[in-house]
Amino acid sequence: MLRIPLRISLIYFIVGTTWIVTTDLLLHFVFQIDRGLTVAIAKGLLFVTVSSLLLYLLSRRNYRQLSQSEKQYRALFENNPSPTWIYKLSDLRFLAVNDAAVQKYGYSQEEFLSMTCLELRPPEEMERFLNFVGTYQQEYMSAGTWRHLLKNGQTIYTTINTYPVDFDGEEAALVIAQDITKQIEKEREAEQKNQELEKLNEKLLEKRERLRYVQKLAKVAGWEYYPDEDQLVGADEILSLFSHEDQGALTYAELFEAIVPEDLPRVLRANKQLLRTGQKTEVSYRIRWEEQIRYLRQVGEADLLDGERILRGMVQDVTAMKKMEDERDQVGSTLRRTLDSITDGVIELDRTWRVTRINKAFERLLDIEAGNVVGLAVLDVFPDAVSLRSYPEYTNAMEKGSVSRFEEYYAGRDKWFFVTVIPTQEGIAAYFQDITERKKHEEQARIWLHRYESVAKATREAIFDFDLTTMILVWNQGLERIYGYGPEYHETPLSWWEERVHPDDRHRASKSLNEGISNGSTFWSEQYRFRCANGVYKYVEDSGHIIFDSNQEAVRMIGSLRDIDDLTRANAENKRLAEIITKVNNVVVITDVEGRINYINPRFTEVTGYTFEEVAGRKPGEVLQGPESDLEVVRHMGESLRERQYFSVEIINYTKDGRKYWMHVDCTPIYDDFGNHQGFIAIQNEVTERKEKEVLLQEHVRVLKEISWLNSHEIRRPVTEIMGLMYLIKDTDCDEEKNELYGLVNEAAHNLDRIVREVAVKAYSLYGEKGFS
Amino acid sequence: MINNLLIIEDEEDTVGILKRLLSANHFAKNIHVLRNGKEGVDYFEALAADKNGTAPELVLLDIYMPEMTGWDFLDWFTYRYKNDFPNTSVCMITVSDDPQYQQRASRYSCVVELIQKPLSRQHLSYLRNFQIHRKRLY
Repeated sequence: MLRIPLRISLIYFIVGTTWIVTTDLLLHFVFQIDRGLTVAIAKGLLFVTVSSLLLYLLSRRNYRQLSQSEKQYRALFENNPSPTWIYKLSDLRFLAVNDAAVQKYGYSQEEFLSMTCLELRPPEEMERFLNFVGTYQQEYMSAGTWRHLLKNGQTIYTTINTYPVDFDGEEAALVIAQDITKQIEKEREAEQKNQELEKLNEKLLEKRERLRYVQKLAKVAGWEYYPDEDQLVGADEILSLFSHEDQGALTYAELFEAIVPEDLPRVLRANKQLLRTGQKTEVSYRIRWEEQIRYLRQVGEADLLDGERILRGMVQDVTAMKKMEDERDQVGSTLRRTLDSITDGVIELDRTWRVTRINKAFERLLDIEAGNVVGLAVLDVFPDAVSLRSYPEYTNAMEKGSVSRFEEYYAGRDKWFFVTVIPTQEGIAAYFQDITERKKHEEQARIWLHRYESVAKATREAIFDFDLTTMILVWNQGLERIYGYGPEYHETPLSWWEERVHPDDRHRASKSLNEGISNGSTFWSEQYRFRCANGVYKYVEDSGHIIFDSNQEAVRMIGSLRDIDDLTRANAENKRLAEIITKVNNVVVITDVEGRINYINPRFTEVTGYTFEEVAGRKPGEVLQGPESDLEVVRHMGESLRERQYFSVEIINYTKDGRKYWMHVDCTPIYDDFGNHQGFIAIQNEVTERKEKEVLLQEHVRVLKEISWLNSHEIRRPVTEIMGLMYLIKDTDCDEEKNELYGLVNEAAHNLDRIVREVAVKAYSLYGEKGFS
Repeated sequence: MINNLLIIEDEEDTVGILKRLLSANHFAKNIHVLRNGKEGVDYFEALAADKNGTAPELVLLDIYMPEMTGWDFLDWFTYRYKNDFPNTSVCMITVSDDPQYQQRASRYSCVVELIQKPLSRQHLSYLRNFQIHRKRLY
């Protein structure tokens, strides 16, 4: 590089020498003027020699400055966190790429350098790109959004900023690509969702914050200040940033006076600080130049040049960028306009852990002012930073140059941040996204969930969180505790659930769930049978609260699967029993503790004629008993009820219309599960027919007994008389006595006849027939 | 021949036929007739009180009688006869052919026989032989 000043100086020297020698020789030989020729030539040569030397020195200085700014330029290129490359406009070949591009696109440096820009494009964007290159303008510009192909075939969306550069004499373009794939996707998914919009804004702002670094590339002027000599070099260069005409006569002092008065104190303060501490400072200010406001950004730091302490810096004309931003903001979407209101906080630290820069957002987030902290050691500003859990992350970033992302709670401000720490040339930069609100919500949700868990442990429920966009169910431990599915089933697809619903219930449950979600209600509930891990089906009550997003679309359901197996089965059993009681032929009466009726079955009404309304609250005895009810039995029943003892009796009752009937009553006290007396249940059977038969039978038996007695005594007695008389007749020889005995026999025979008739009458009376008289 | 015979029987006709049979066979010298068990008890009470009274050797006892049955009489007599009337035997006479009567009658040691009516000459000779035999024992 330094050969160029030498070459210029040599050309100047040869031309000058030739001119001096030629003109002097011409004067001497053509015009015959010979007045100290040798002296004149020597004088001319001396002048040329001296001026050549001077020219060389000046050029060399200029070029040294130029090379310095080029060094800065290159550093900014290589350390740029966004993929950045330079390509030749003529054949679109890559000339240089930075590490960020290598990481993002997956190609190595060598691969990149053997490729053309076209290879990054999907086929459908080739033509657009070629058109764009064809109309390439010689100024910084934002080229809009492009799709790029990564080495792994993935397509990403990028916003492109490009700037024409001269690369080793070639016409080339510098390209800064911002990967906005995620934002684009998010934008498409939920353009109208406010929450996501905010997130998107934050992301974009983070990107833009980084973009600002890169934008330093544009319109940079270097300057150097030699404190010992109080000499500023490069003011003209600064002016050349925004002055088209060569107005070399203007000085830095004039430039200084052009600074907008409101911004002047800030510039002065920054300059003083730079002078005093030598630490890197940055200040932005406006100048009024040619009736136009120009935005300048000035960066300065101390450096050593040939062992001499100098201040060196850059001034960047960011006017074009500002204007562009304004334009972009004006024509941009609502989304982009909101970017200005929200931003990540950024703090930059140098390698000595001193704060070199913080942005407005950072000031706002942590309630501090840049002026009070820039230049101070970070631990002086944030003394409690050492105790932060994430402190090693910063150290790692600083010492190992690694990028780290983490969440951090900063107790001093009671705030949560999502922090991204990236190594920079000077040290590290940390981006703070305030996630306090989100964290608080998360924490609140966690607390509630925890409380719910502890409550849920005591209940027979499995809690689930059903994401309606992914159709994934997340379960709590209830699923294992109650249904036996272990931790591997913590997350299940909806189909997993469907497979476990009893086949007979599956269609109904699925249909109900779909309707529940789609009909806009906030609560859904269904009962079905659910298969446990051991294959047994349980009755469950599944209920859930449906949560909607701002577009009134159902996004998730928080619910519980409650085990109601015992309950349902008990109910089924109860139903079955109730059905039996209703349908049995027995009269069933249930009373309370005091013996007052609180249930009768339909058969009661059929038998007695009384409806439930007529007997409810009354005692069965006072309703049913009447004149012929056996008082002894009534007394026995009363006693048993008082002593809560089982009894079984038969008693005459009366129907509503006064008909008498026999009732067999089995009555037993009933108790609940805790042994508390609940009342009595009486099972009654109408036994009138049997009772009537019994009475009839007893009568028969009595008659038959009588007949039997008559047989054995009344009939046999005359028979024995006759037999006795016959013995006497046989034994006697006296005719007179025989005749007398025959008379007695005759008498006994009549007696016998009479008695037989009596027996016959009795016997026939059993069958309701008349005797044979 | 039996000196003293006691008949406890409520039926007039039966008693009449019985007396004819007894006298035709010369079964007893003195025959005394009572109408039921109660009269029998009174009779024996009076005998026990009178030192000079002579207890009957044989009692013909009907079972079914008003006021007091033959069974009830036997229940009373069983506790008395061994001490007071050791020479008195009882023969039960009944119209019933209930086999339980035989069993029940055998429980009383004073009862020598239960005879189903009507009494015949054979019955009387059997009783007479029994009575002779019995006397020989004492």
